Amino acid sequence: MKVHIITSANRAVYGRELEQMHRLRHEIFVEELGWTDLWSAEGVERDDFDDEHAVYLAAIDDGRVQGSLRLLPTWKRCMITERFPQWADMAPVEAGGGVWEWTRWCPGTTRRPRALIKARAALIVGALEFARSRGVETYLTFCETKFLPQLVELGWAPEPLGLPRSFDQGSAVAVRWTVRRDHLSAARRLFRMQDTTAFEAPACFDEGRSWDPIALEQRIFGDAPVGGLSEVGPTPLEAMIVQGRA
Amino acid sequence: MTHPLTNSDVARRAFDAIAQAQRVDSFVELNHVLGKRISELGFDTYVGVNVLDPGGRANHQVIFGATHDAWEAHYAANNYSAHDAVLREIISGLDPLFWSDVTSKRPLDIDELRIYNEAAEHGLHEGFMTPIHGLDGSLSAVLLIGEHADSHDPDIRAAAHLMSLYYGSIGTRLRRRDELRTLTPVKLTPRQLECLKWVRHGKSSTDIGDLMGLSSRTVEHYLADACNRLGVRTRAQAVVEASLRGIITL
Repeated sequence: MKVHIITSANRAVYGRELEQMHRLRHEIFVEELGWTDLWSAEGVERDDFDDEHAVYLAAIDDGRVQGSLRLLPTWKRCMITERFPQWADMAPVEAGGGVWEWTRWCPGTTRRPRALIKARAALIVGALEFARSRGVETYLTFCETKFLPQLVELGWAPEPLGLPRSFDQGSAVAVRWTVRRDHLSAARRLFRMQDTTAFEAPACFDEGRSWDPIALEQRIFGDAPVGGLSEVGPTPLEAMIVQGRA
Repeated sequence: MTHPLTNSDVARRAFDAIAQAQRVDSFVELNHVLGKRISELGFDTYVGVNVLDPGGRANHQVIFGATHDAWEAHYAANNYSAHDAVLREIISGLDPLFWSDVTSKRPLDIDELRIYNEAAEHGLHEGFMTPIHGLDGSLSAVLLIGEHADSHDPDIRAAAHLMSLYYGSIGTRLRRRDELRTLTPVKLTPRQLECLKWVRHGKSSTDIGDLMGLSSRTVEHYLADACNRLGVRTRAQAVVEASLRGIITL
């Protein structure tokens, strides 16, 4: 499973995958998590932060999008400062250069737990490789409070920007963390993902060539084994999902 | 565009404590920095407990923290985890809960009620339990207990929630590190060891180079390697880590 980096430069070759991503987001956020204000009759979840500045990390396996993450360059758009400033009232957000925001975290559906585990690990490692390639210094996010101890467990030392507060479907909190050089190697060890995970297809504009990015990825990395757990045995994370405790 | 900062005292103190807690290296420090703030909210007992292992099996035990010895012993001796109403709610949900939240939510059966009454007899009238879901699927929790605490102030609830999450997750990291320390022996080469001993005696890289007949750059290289093997970033941490592992003596 590789994580494709999709930007305004190369999105022209990802039409099919972007559609799959928006459908998966609708399935997870509206149907599974019950965030009904994101509902749409067409079954795709899109908001006005899905603009030309957004960068998508799409975990692709078996030719399909299994999970995704949207990163926003906060010097252009920032959900926390634009939509949720009251949740970040204890520490300055400091949006700007070098600061990106994790949004629409969607590692997959609990109906396919093995894919969920793989996509979750791939997206985390992919986001750290992306951070290395773009010089990301800080990640921000506004997330469900239950993720906060996991960010501590990953070793990222998240700083809360406000107290956790309840909304209709649960509790959420705004946090930020500094991306450090050792985070990527630590995540590779934890998730046993020693190989490069992020793949960024070349830019493709109207006048240029076009190609199938998944075929391109496979030509570079070769065919990955289909599905299944890692050969050395399940990682703790995999064991967890297989037991049904997503 | 700046946003005005809230100056709620409780929230501010919680945030400062959390910032300090992220830098602690021991349980002594963690309890001093974060435990103290928690007790200011009215909870003299604050413990990290295991609830379910990654397979979903019950694994209830106190792992770290400032416990209430008598209550912990009484609870364990009577196997109260099998009838604990608060524990049941925590296992089935995501939200933290005051003991009084549970009693106002639903009626308790006779076994559940007994636990509440006996806690009260021990002088423990209010508790706050926060679930923590680990990356491996395990469920642990942080339990705060006191004589009385204000469960109606939303800022106190939120501060207790936030501090519990950090107390639990940082405590777990410290424990894992301690366990790893005992499980994975670290071996330094004789040169690395010698360099480290000189660092412990306050020598600079240049001094060490002179003493060992090496360039200071070579000394830096040996020390960097030693830091890597010990899993630390600075040579000062390397000295501490090596001594905790019995590789050098302080």
